[in-house]
Amino acid sequence: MHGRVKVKTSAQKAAEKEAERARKLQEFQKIKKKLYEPSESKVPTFKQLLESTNEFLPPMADYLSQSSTLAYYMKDWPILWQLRLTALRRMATSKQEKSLETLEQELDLTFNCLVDSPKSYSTWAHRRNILKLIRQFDEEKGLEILKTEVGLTERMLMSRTEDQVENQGRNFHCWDHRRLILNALPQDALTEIQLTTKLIQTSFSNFSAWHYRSKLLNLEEEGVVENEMDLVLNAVFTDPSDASSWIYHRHLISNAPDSSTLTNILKSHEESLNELLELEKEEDNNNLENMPLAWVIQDGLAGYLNSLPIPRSFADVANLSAKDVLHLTLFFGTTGAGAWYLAEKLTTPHRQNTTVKLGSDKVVDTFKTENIDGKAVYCRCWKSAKFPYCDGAHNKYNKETGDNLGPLIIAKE
Amino acid sequence: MKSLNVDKHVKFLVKAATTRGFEWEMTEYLRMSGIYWSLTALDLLGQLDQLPREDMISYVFSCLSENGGFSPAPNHYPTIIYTLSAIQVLVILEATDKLGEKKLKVIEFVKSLQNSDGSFIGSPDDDKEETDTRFSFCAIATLKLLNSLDEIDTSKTVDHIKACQNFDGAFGVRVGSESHAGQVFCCVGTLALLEKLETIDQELLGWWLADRQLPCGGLNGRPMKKEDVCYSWWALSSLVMIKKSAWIDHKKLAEFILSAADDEIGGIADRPGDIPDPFHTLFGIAGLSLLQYNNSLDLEIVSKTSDIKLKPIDPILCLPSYLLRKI
Repeated sequence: MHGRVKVKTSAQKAAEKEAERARKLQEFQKIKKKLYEPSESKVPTFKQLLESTNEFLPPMADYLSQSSTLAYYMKDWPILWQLRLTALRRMATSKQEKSLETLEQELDLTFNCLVDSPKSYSTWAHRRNILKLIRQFDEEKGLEILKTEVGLTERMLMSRTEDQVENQGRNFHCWDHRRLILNALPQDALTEIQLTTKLIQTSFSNFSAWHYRSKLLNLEEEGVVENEMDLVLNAVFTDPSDASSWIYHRHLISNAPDSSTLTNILKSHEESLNELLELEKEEDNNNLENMPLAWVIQDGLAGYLNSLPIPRSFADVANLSAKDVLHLTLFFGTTGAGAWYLAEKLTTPHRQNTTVKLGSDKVVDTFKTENIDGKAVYCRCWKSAKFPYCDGAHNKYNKETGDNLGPLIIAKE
Repeated sequence: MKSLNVDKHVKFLVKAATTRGFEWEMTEYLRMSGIYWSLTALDLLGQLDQLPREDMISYVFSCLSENGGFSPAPNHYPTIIYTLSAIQVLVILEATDKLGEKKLKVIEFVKSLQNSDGSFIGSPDDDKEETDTRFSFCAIATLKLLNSLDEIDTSKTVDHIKACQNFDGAFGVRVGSESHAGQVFCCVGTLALLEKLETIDQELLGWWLADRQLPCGGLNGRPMKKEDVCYSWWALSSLVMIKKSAWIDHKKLAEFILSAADDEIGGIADRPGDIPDPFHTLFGIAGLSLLQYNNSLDLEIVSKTSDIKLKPIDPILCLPSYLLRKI
């Protein structure tokens, strides 16, 4: 029902399509009769068979194999999955031969259906039912498969193309599936945070990742807000047309605990955005009326900074006129309102060094190899308190950012 | 702004509801909802009598299970979604009295689906963790239409909804799920029916909802997604429920909805140029009704039958308002 483009076809093509549909329809009606539609036939339907006994009977296996190709046409038909699940549960409970193999085939079937229709509610739910069934049948194997499943969801959530964003990165079915699977495994919030960091830094359109992040982090904890502001500002300047980063940014501003660090961050942010505004004025001949960004800079962000402590909610914003809200809406909803220019013109890579000899123009350390006694370990993350030597600070840094920095080791033979 | 061509849309809806072909067969799994969409749209356009009332009522009862739930079609399994659709159809056809004693079974069915944390599953054999805020809405709306809200633990229901509110003020499928305008409608609707809207941050939610409007005037369901006519209902009615529908541009939205109407065969699609269907036809017309009566939009209605007016729609239950006065 969604996204079906109306295409003009020739009379011949239309006739061909009608014929194909009529064929499909006939096939479909025949199969429905086998599955659940009662008739005068002496052969019970799949549904009648399941309701007539508590046992697993051989004809049920036949129905299972006959109806598996149907799944591609009926993946949104809960009745199909329900009939299959009932039969499979019976099979597993009565410890039929090849039960595990059959269940794994069912996983393959749902996988192929999901590749076709990644947003099918009933397919995702059926897959979870099968995962549970496997675990009931064989706990060890079941847990092993669950761990693989987590990895599968991560691969699915990576999105580099527009199509992948639509069906994968923003696919809430997949995100929810991952969280539900994780309920059965030892919890590791850190891995989840790192996943969101990776997705934010490498994929398009990351609202789902930002959302998950908002659940995993506590803004009251030390260092969290600064780190998040860093991450989100980076995202904003990388792709200013993505509304996701702006929404998260707004969340940080309104919920971060008051601190001078936050104020300083916002002040420097305001400077960058004012530069952007100047650029936009040039591009748009001072036509600020059409530049909703202007609203945010002139009234919005400046307002936040001027009214310390930073407001915690947008209850004040409720007093906006409809026109002002529309401006804000356009700002967040529009594709950056021409703010693309800013990414190219304002790209200021972040400083790496924030602690070592900040007064120097350039920090250089030179050593002679003859002076090295056995082994020397040098810092490459710029966070070591014993710079230029490593003190393990890269570990904390990697944990916080999902980065993979490590020291340089010079070892003499 | 284009006008709303009533006759074309009625023709489309009637054709879709009566043609026994490929589309009909392939949508069997949601047929009860399909009937609800068609009837509501026709009623809004003042043409309910175009479909055979007695046949519809028989169909509804042919889908009633022993356990009190309704299935989308005979021989399918009952779920809370099609139970709501069935009751909505009976309300539109003013035939809820035909339930008689079976009404108690329906209420039992709904109650049996609630978990201890207030969430709802969709059907009796489902795993307890397969909850969805859509099911909460379906359950509460069903009970409301049967005048039986007091049969259920409403405070837990509210607790679960509140637990689903996210950092952006909106709601998702379960606790922890990403915000989505469809789920927002279900959560806000549930709270509205239970008169507990004051327990959520309506300002923040209003912002998120207003954010759904794109430069083309249409609304999307989540940040960075495409516009879609059905969100003219889910997002717009949510804004109406929290009294912030002034936060979007009405004229642009109406123009978008009308531009998605098919001038050739009638009906409304998800966006201009796509194939129309009864689902989007209902939600497009419902959206226009809200804009007309709630926001004084000047809508031009064209029909060979003189003096057809769009009926007002209830933003919570998505049924013509006049019906709810009779409950």
